[in-house]
Amino acid sequence: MNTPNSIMRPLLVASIMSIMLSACGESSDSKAGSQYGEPDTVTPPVTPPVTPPVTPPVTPPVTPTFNQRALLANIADNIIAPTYQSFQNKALSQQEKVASYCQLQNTVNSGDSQDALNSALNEARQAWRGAMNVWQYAEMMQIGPLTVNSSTLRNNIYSWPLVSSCSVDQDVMYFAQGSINSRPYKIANRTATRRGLDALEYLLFNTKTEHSCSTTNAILSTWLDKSDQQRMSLRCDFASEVAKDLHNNASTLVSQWSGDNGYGALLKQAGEQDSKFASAHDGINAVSDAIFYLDKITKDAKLAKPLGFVSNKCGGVGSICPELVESPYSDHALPNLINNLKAFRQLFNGEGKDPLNTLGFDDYLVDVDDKATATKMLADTDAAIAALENIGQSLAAALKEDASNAEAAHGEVKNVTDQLKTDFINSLALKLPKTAAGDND
Amino acid sequence: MKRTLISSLVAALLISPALADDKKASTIAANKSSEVSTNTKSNINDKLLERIQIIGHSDGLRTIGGSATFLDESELDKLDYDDINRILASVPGVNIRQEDGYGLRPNIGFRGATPERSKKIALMEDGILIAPAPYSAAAAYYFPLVSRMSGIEVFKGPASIKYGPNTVAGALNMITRSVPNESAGAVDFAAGSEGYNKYHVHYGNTLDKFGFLIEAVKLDADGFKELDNGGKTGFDKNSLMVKLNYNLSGKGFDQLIELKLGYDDEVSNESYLGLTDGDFAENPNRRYSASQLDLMDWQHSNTMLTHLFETANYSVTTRLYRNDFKRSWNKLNGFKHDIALEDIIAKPFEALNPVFMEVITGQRDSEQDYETLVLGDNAREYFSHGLQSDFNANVDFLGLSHKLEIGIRYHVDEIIRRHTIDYYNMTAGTLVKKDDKAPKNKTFNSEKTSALSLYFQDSISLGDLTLTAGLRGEMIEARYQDTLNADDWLEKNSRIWLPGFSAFYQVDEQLGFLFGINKGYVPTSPRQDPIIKAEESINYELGLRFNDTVTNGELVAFFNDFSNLKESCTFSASSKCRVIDTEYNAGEVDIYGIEANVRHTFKLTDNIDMPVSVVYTYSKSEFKESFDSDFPLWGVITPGDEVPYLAKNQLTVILELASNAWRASLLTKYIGAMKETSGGGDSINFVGVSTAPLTIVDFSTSVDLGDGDDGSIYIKVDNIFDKVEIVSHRPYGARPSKPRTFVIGFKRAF
Repeated sequence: MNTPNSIMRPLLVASIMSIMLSACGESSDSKAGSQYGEPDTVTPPVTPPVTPPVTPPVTPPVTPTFNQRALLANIADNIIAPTYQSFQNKALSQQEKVASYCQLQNTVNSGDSQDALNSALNEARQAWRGAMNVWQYAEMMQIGPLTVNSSTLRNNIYSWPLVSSCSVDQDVMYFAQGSINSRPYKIANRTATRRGLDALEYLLFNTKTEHSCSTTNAILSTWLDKSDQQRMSLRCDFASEVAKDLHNNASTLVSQWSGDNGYGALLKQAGEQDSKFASAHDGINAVSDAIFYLDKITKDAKLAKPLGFVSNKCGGVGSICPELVESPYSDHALPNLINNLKAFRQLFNGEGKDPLNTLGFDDYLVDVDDKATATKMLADTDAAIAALENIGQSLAAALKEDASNAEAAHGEVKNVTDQLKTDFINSLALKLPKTAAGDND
Repeated sequence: MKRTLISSLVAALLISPALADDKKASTIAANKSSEVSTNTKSNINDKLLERIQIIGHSDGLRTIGGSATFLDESELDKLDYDDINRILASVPGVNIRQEDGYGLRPNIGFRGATPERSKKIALMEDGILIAPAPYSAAAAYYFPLVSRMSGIEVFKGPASIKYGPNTVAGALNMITRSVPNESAGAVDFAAGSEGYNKYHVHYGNTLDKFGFLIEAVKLDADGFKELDNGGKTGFDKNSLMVKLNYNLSGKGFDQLIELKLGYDDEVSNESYLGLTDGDFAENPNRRYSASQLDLMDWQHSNTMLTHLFETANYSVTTRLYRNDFKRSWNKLNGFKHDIALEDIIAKPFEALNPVFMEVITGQRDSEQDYETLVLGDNAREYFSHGLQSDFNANVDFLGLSHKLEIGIRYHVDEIIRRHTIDYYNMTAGTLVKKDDKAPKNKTFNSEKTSALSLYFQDSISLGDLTLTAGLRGEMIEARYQDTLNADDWLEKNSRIWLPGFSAFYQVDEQLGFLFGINKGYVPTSPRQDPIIKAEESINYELGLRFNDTVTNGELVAFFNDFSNLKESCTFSASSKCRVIDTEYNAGEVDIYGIEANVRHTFKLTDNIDMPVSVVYTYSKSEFKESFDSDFPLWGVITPGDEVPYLAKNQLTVILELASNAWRASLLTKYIGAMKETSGGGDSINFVGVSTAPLTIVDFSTSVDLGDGDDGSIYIKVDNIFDKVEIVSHRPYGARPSKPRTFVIGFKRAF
């Protein structure tokens, strides 16, 4: 029989030597092609992608002088809160104008003068444009209430690029019927493509009275039997309901942002004990995530896709596709883009409701000794706005006639987003949003 | 250099005088010598079988290190499972994520290693790596039909260094039927619920020096899931194997050449699409309309030429092998919009998800371009071939008896991806192709690996102590190439040495203690960025083993200390993978636990025995580092979080009654709750969701006809209490466990 020591000795020797071997017995080397690691490009794009290299985030800079929470407070109180509040006001005005228009639509007779009706319709349309102008600012400020639950509230207000005029037509009839599947019709229970600013645009601006469905759904089976005036009345009734729903959702947004327990307060308390954000820097990162809207949506979805820089429903790369522009019935795509850029600038330079408080990301960049990036990004943003304003006609028309100005504008926006993804992120030690992966550049 | 090191290691063990026990060593040498017998036809096939098994069968106390389980043909016959997931219920330390209910594409891990497509274990048939491309793409989308296996071996611990490249978990070796020594065959026909049919026949003989075996299995079922449009949900699998051998034994040596040819295929109307929790509650077996065209269609062939040469002192087994696997896997990928199916199914009432759910379920036609359904055919071709030679010898050196095992393998494998996508509209509940255009190219690339592997292992008997030290070397050359972009390629060379050591101390004829330590390793695939590290761990085990012929068992504690745990994102795990097959590092992770199994046979009467088996596994895992991962099963990890799909407690109790003329078995398996995601965060689904604990009871009985010469009738009821739970929310949504099924069959040996 062996003693315990005699057993343990070889065990110990073997174990130690095994671990030593494991530590030293490994080597590897590699070499790669020039395009290794690029996203799969089965069909090469027309213009070769020029994606700036994304440098991994460096350690957070030491910024003893910069008050990150003051930046968050300015953004929360002087930029985001007033934008949401303004949208609520615009939504209320829109609700009233649509209701007034509908009242006339439902009472006017075919022989009556159409002037008052047309005037009311124009006022309703202007109210929609007013609401949409503000909403395009809010699009750049998707944080908190607009992102929780898979962005349900945001989509209920505005679901673009997912829109469905056919679904809206169906709901016109469901609403008129007052029920769906034997249950009372409630717009709050309906999917986002049947409500919101996109649905209201279709109802107010679409001049065709035929329904938009490729096949006639059962609920639309009687649509053809109705006169144009009946159809307009039905659409108008539903437009009133949609406008009312929009105001309700705008009020929900303001309510969830405001107050001591609102998301605005939560953002301002970033870094405090029990805060959702472990640090003020994390709170700033959440705002940074929001402004990447400029890259994925403004630049890619609103410009690159209809310009055919990526394949789209009109064909492969190179297929210009005017029907993909945002807000096609109202020709409001260009103001939308410009308002996105203006909202971006507002968040960047901190110029909100309080003219005395302009603490923004530009100040933060200056504080970390990167004034060059701050200056360049502001200049590029202004250049992008100017380029968009230079298009001079609706975006859809420009794409049909001569896309060069729109292409130039895309280039200007890209100048901003290239900086955003590199120097901005690196200098402020922020993380790229997860949605920034799979870049289309 | 490394040879010198391992030699020093062995020498350090050898020169320990306190361990020398010449008497015992010489006894073992004598016993071993007596095992080598003359070259009669009755044992040459058995010898070949010994060489392809990892652990083999023993009636006495097994004295090698490493936790091991061997299920022989009689064990497999008791419950007559076709599903490896159910077979492995009687093996401790196995963690499984069920998926389709039939085990068509099993997810098996050992000791907490990720079960995903069994890619972390060394998966073998007859001792040869059988995953389609074990180095380049380890995920085992092909899995042999276990109905034709005559033995299953599960090995965890240090001896896995003989079988790499994956050594973090262990090895699963499936043993095919041997060429019989004399005329022997059998038929097995069965039918059951859900349209289940099995036809299994084999026959073989050895005529003088020539032996042959032919075996064929056909297995099909209509499936238990119910497609919204009434389409097929079942499968049809076929397997054919032929073995031919020739005995070239001479005086003083045994020699055999054997050719094995195999062909398998499968057509299964399976899908990655699961259900929302709400729909699962109403009908767990439902399948949405959008999955109606999902189809897996594969063919697999394998050829193996084996040469065995054995004398009284040594043996050399050399195998030349080639495996080919081709598949078409057409399935719903998602929508023509940047939204993941998994997000839609996980949160069907949020945001715009109801819009897509209406199309998925066929309630509404595709009306908008973004409602176009994208079906992807992940068509792939794989091959693997190689030459493997294993040398075993019993030698006396420095007065000690050594069992030397040396192996070398040159292996090449490749995966060629030709992934395409097609666009479909949902129209009146039917998927209709949008246009006549050819499928659009999606991912076209290849990954290829050439690997030279070596291992050296020496088992030394020092009295009551058996020490085994081994070292495995892997020299890997890997290349990734994008087929459509000549400049998108990567070449990697890596070399690693993986040591292992085990000890077994035999207290007496019935009891012994074991200890083991080995380095675990899983290489990265050729495409992975070199910054992605290989998976590495140090694995420890300590336990005891007993066997008094009536009662036997094993109790083992294990601790796997991962310096880097690695995961890869595949469609089978989630639809949220941004780039398919991307791998992720998790850094340090600890996985530890206890495995126990005990078996005792109660003799109720002179004619009736009641064997009872209890198998228990306790597993615990902890991430040791904080990180935020895009991997959909991890998310934001904080230290202490658990790895997904690892039940803390698993228990299997098997009660049997056996007489000469009839047998009955009742298997009860409990699987504790399993977390479906490790961490938190907004970017992943099913945060905090666990599978429900599940207890399944299976019953099987067989009765001999006549005195047994006329065959036997058997009846099986799987899941007799019809307990159905969500076994996983992967790949895309809730998936049910298999409901109650009945099978009646007839077997006859001749």
